[in-house]
Amino acid sequence: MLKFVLRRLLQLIPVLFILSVLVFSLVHLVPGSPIDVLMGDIRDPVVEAALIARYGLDQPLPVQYWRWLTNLLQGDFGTSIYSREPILHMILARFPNTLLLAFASAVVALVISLPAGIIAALYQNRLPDFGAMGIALAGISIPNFWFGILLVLLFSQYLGWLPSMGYVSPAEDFGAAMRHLILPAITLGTAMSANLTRLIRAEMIEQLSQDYVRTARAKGLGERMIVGVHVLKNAMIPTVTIIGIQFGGLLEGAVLTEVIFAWPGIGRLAVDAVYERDYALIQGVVLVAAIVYVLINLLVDISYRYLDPRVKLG
Amino acid sequence: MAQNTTAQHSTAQGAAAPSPAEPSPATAGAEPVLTVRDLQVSYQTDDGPVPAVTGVSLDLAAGETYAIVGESGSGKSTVALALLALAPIVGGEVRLAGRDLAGLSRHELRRLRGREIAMIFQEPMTSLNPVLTLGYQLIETIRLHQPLDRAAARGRAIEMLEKVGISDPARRLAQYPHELSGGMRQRVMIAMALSCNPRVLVADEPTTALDVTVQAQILSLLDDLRAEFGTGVVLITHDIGVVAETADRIGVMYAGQLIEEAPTADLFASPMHPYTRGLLASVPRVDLPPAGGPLAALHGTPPKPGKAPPGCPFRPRCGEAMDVCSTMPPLTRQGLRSVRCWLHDR
Ligand SMILES: Nc1ncnc2c1ncn2[C@@H]1O[C@H](COP(=O)(O)OP(=O)(O)O)[C@@H](O)[C@H]1O
Ligand SMILES: [Mg+2]
Repeated sequence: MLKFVLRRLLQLIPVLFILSVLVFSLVHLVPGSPIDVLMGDIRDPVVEAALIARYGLDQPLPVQYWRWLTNLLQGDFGTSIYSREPILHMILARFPNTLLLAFASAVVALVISLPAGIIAALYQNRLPDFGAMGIALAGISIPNFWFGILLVLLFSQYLGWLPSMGYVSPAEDFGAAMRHLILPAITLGTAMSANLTRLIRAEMIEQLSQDYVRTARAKGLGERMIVGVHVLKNAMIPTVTIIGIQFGGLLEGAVLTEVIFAWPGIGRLAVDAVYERDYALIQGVVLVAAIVYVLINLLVDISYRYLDPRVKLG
Repeated sequence: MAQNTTAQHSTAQGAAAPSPAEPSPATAGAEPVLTVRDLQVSYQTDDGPVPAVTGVSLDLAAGETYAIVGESGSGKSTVALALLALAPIVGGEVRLAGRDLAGLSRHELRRLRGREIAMIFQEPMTSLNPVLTLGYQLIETIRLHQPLDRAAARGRAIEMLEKVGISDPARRLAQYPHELSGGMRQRVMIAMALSCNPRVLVADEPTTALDVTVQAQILSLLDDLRAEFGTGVVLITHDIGVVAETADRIGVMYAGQLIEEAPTADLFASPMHPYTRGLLASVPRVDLPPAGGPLAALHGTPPKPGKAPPGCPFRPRCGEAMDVCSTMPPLTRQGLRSVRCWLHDR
């Protein structure tokens, strides 16, 4: 087990290296530079040249990359050109917020899609199935941000039950934190639940036709136990994979959701960084997101071992 | 030879006969533990009904082995599932220990399955749940039907695994199906099926997926346990050679019907139905005297359910077909034997 984890972490190294090259090139290929942002309306070539020299932007790209990489290896992500804060610090401050949002969204998605998928499978091609699948299709077709805006209009503007945006730390005021969490989590979670419902339905239908279900019936087991234990445990194996993959998608979806709801996560940090052409910050955010993504996939693989005894880690 | 009893005609499409055929009185004396009368099973599909079984009657005594043989698609598995009310029975009746399955509620049926009548399947690979331990699956079955606590059920599970010849049973309980060989898995299935001491065990091609030496072991294990527990066994196979040693009686199925039934030795010695003779021709056996009649190998394929021509469904493949074969032959009884063929309608 430990060996498996270590090996997977070692495999991470070349992936991260390639990723760092990609991110670096992409960021520097995008037109516009942080100097433009810093200079604003000032038109002074001397100041501009000084700034460019100060941030090393006059160096050839490979040299800039090398400097960034060597600093990175010492744990130095650089400082934001704009806020002058250390980048690692900025990311670590925002990251738990995004994780909280992503996790809450995953819970929302499961709470919706698990029962919906199971019921749709059990009532295949009958009314409950059509209902669940219709809603899932709607969920896939409706743009996420639009749904978020509708939720805000209904629950905060019209009914006034929930705050329309912002973030409160759970450590400060748990109740307020949850109220702020609900709308963004529903927005993001429903987006994920549409696909998940379809997946769970298909997987349940597939599993219900397996031989072991016939065995369970032949030994006199009730349908509730057959579905709830025998079938569900098998159906969860691919479902967990998809949740893991979609968790990466959740981080992605978090960008939009965080912008709509003024949620201080790394999604918004990334958007701001792109607007400001804050090279080091963009690079840092993407790299950290990639690391987290890979780590989540590792977690998924490990959880396999507990769900599927046929899978051998190593 | 013996008295002639002509049973009621039954149409190919399986309209229920007014008075169902009486099968051979082989179980005379003892009350049969399982009786099947003119069973009709039809699956509902998107392409319309599939009448997979259109007339099967049989009796099974406690401790007896009754083999059902026939080519693939003849409806054997459908009969097997119908015995547990797991296939859509549309006519006839199945009585288990005197109780008509049709009169039972879903709840009563569930209590019957696994306790009074148990089943094992062809594919030991997929018949066990791949993500649950053997212990879980065994103990679940035992506790479903017996008022035992976990520890006692575990003891019973270990005892059953020992009985089916699995070494180190306590350790096996923690293992998963994929950690066992096919033969071992089938042994576990047998242990599970017999754990509640059912009156009847239905074994649907239990050795087809196993290699030959393991096949023989599993068959003799089944036979030993049948003798020990007094379980009636319905043994289903497409390979008539497999049941020569263990079956007391054999029923031959063709296109959803039982077309011949006889004590095993009689059937091998003198098959009556041309189809049975064809089946035997495909099993060269040196240890049995030459069968009474020409052994012409089978050609062609059996009809799909509901697609048989009117009359005898075997007619298109039969070397001895006559004009009269375009009407359905009755099931004719001759002593302990019965046959559904105009050649023997005397
Ligand atoms: N669940 C089902 N739905 C529709 N048709 C079926 C089903 N199961 C079996 N059949 C059909 O019924 C016929 C008999 O099948 P089966 O009982 O499995 O035969 P055997 O076990 O002798 O091979 C076949 O033609 C098969 O295609
Ligand atoms: Mg079969």
